[in-house]
Amino acid sequence: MIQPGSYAIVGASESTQIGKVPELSSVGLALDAAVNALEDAGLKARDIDGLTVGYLPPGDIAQQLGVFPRWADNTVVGGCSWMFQLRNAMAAIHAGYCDTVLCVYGESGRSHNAVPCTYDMGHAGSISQQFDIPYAGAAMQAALFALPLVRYMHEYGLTEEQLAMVAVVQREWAMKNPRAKLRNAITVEEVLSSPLVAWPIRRAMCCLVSDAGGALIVTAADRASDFPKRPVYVLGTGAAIETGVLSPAGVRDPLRPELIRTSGSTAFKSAGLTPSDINHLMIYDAFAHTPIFALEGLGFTPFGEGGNFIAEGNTRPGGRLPMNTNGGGLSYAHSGSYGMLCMQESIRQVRGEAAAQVPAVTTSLAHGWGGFWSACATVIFSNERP
Amino acid sequence: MSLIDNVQPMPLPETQTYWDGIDAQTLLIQRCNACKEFYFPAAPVCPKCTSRCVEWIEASGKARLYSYVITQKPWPEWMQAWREDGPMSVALVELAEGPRLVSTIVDCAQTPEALEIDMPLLTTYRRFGTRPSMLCFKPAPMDEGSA
Repeated sequence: MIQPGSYAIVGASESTQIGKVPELSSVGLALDAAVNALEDAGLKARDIDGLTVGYLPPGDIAQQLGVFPRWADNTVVGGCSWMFQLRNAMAAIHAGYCDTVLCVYGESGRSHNAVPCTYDMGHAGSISQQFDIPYAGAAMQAALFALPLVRYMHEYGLTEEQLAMVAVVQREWAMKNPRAKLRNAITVEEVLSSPLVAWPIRRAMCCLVSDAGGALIVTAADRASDFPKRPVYVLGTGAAIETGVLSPAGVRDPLRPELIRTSGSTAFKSAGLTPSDINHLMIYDAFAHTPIFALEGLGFTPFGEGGNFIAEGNTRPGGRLPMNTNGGGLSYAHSGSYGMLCMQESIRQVRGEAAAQVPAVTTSLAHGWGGFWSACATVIFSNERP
Repeated sequence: MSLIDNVQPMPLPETQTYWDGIDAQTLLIQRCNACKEFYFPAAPVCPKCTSRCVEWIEASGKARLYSYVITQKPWPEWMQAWREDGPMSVALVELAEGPRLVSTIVDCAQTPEALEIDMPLLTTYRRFGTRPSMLCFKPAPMDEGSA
């Protein structure tokens, strides 16, 4: 058992540019973010002895960055892979395999300057490729991720207006963030008049398509005071995998997915905290309904009340539980795998250096998805060591 | 590999029986002889109890509409085997035997008004690319369907 706060983030950064970055590939974005994180931590490449990378081959990154890891991890479960990797990195340090781990992400999601990718969402012969993708159509991501939503609306009474409010509230945060892609105010009516993608999901309820990178450096909390920035302690983590990458039919309880409950309860238990201890929240918003499902599954609201919780303003600027304060995948950036960017905003908030800084944030929870209800992970960060 | 090749389902040895059944317009699913549970998709091991003592059963063909979306994007050419350009349901269907699977509802208006949660369904089949048939579902007549 890793005690809460035993490990800390001592360096963190996104790529210098996000959004439309045609001059860089996925590798270039990853390297740029890694160098920024090293500078943030005041470290040189040779100080890194553990490396985690998602989608990209770890050896390529090690060679091009000049790091020489004696431990590496390439866990790939979709967009929350970097949260899984952070957990693995802490366990590896705990085991004595390495001391200082660099966790790297880069994805040319918009410009498509891709490189060999270790994540294939539709291998010929996979469950998804035989049984799911043929039915999913041209809006595959929206269709498969939103598949439980209409039944949810039927059982719990969530309205399209409440769903639209998720996008409206996140835009309010984006308007405070100069790095956000979309910064004009929007209304419920505008969201509901945007083109249908996969009813009831409309374009303004879908995440952006961006280029971005991000990197973290994690080490033992006992060493964390040696670094220039105030350390960000990892209080607890959780993760779960329930079904195939693109196979939502495998989720046993689609309106109350067990994987969210398992990941959340594991994170809270390992941190010794409950949802009422969290004062800032990042929930991976690939589509407008996913924060609703996570608010409920993580225990912030009863089942069926997540949409109303957002629509009532609890997560908007000035609300009691600020959420997705960078603007989220809907308004800030989304390069295909948003888990790393989710953690970056949590870290900025507990450091006190976010663009839309929430006053007095001590503890932030980041929750990310992999595939469409396939995997998820939860990380609780704090600027205080218990 | 082009997209059209990649979306043509590629059977594996473990799933070939399912696809042979679909080609003959028959839905074959598996039942575990140890725990008696039905499961989908095809696999040599029961996902409920890990038994390898499993058998193929012809499903009743009865099902209900668990949930769905209506996808709106224009269909690429390879998909027009399914239907002409236009809205199409992507459905989460619950078989009478218990397992859920992803499919589409045909012979029905592709509108929220026509597609009712829990409506009874029956299996039907449509050509898809180079495959002679793919499993789809259609509304059941009032006196059939729901298990």
